[in-house]
Amino acid sequence: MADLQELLAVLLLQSGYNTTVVMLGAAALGAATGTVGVFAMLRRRALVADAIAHATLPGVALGFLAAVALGFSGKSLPFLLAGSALTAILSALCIHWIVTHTRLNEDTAIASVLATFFALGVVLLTVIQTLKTGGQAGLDVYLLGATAGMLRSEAITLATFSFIAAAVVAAFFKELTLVSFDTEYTRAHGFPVRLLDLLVLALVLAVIVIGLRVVGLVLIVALLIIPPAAARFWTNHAGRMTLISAVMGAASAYGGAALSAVRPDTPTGPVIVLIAFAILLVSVFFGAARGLLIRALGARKLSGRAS
Amino acid sequence: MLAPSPSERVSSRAMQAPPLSVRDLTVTYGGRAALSRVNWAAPESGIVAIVGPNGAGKSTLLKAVLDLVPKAEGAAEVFGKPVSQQRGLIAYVPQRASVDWDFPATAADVVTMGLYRRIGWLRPVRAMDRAKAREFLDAVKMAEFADRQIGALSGGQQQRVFLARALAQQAKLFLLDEPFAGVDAVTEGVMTGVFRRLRDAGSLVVCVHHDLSSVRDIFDHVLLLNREVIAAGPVAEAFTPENISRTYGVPLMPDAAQTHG
Repeated sequence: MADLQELLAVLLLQSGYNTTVVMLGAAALGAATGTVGVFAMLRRRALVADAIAHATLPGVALGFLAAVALGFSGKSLPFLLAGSALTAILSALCIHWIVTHTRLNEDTAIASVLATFFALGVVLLTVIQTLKTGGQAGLDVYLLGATAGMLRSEAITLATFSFIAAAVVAAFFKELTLVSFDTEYTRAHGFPVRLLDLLVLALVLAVIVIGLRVVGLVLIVALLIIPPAAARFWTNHAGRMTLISAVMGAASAYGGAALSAVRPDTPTGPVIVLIAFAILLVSVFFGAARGLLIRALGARKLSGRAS
Repeated sequence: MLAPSPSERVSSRAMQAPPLSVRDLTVTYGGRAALSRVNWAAPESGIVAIVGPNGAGKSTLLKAVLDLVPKAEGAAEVFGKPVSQQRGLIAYVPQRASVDWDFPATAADVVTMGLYRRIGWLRPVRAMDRAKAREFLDAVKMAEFADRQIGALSGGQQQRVFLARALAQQAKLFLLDEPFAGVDAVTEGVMTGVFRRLRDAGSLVVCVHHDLSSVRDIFDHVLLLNREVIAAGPVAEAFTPENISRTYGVPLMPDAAQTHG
């Protein structure tokens, strides 16, 4: 009972300034992944996103080592973000190289690269545990995420990058929609399809790196893909779908962060993903545009016009 | 209301050049020539069918013109300039298979996409644009389906939506890849009517076409293609039994085959 009251207080942002900032930061991140995730899903980049996410692990380890070597705290955010971005980009390049230079298909390339980079990360983390530098204890938050103990400045950094990512999507919304719907048409009319694809990949990479701290690299792909998948059941318009997806992503991350504030031992990432999944489940059955219920009612015309 | 775009001004200056011309165009797929030294200048306006057997390179010709597949040799020009400078004058309707049918877009949304180029980078779609899109849907008799998700339409209705998207681009040259494949009679009638209006307004419509029996009803020019140009010209002159049999490699008359060889 006391727990429930506490949870309610946290949800209503009555639990102190720091918790409030962290929760709003998490919500901003959820909105950003929900926004970017729409195009990760529509352009079929979900698996690549997962590989990129797992490939950040060696980067986290290398960032830690670089920070320590240069006399900073091993857990300083800029080093860890830079390191994870570096190996994430490297993994994307590896996948691209394998697909274009060998006869292996993309599926195989993605699975191999994902596992290899993740394995490298685990080995590096094990090595780091044996070092005598100290501070390595908290590195595992990057695996499953944790908002408990997050600094205000960290939350503000994440929120700022989240807004930038969402703004970029908004700025190129027309062109991203076009390339996702009909690539051939888009290329024929002189739009830079390769650059737009690269933009989607860059945005995916950015929100993954930003989201590592909160959701963790094992599950971040879920926060990219589940909100748009759920939003798709409510509307037949890409614009509305993106807004709904952003709200769903924000709600999931907000709820996960709230629970972490009450129960600091709970890893944040899994909680966020479970909340997102609950939203997906409701959407699958009750979605106004293509939910199972509305389909079962045989309301074909309704589903076409509802949104 | 709309200021003419630079490409439009270019076009009025270069109007004497044909809307579409290809010179010595060769395209190879894995070492095999899909098109071999194709030379063709389209008429100034009209409705043109590109006709030929499967694997004759009909779709490849359109794709090579649009730089969607690399040219091994030769060049294509639109109103006397490279295609890359004339994108604003071209509307392309790919084969229907190129689309994601589950995509969150209604018929009206798809037609609005035809306006994206004119709206420009970093500018949002406005209510005015959506209203315009509905007018183009109306032109293909699809207004009542404006809010239907694109995948929930029949094949013919989908094809009309893509034609409306092409109309929204307000192009001078329309390139369509098998627009009549698998469509219903209503759609065929609507599309034919739209093509005639475009022709009468001075535009050129080029269709890859499969059905030999409808060529005379729909088209006024024909390009007979089988990896190379067999014949081209007004339907009355070029669409002869002899040329058709040379295109399809089935000699209708033994002596026709001999003349060719």
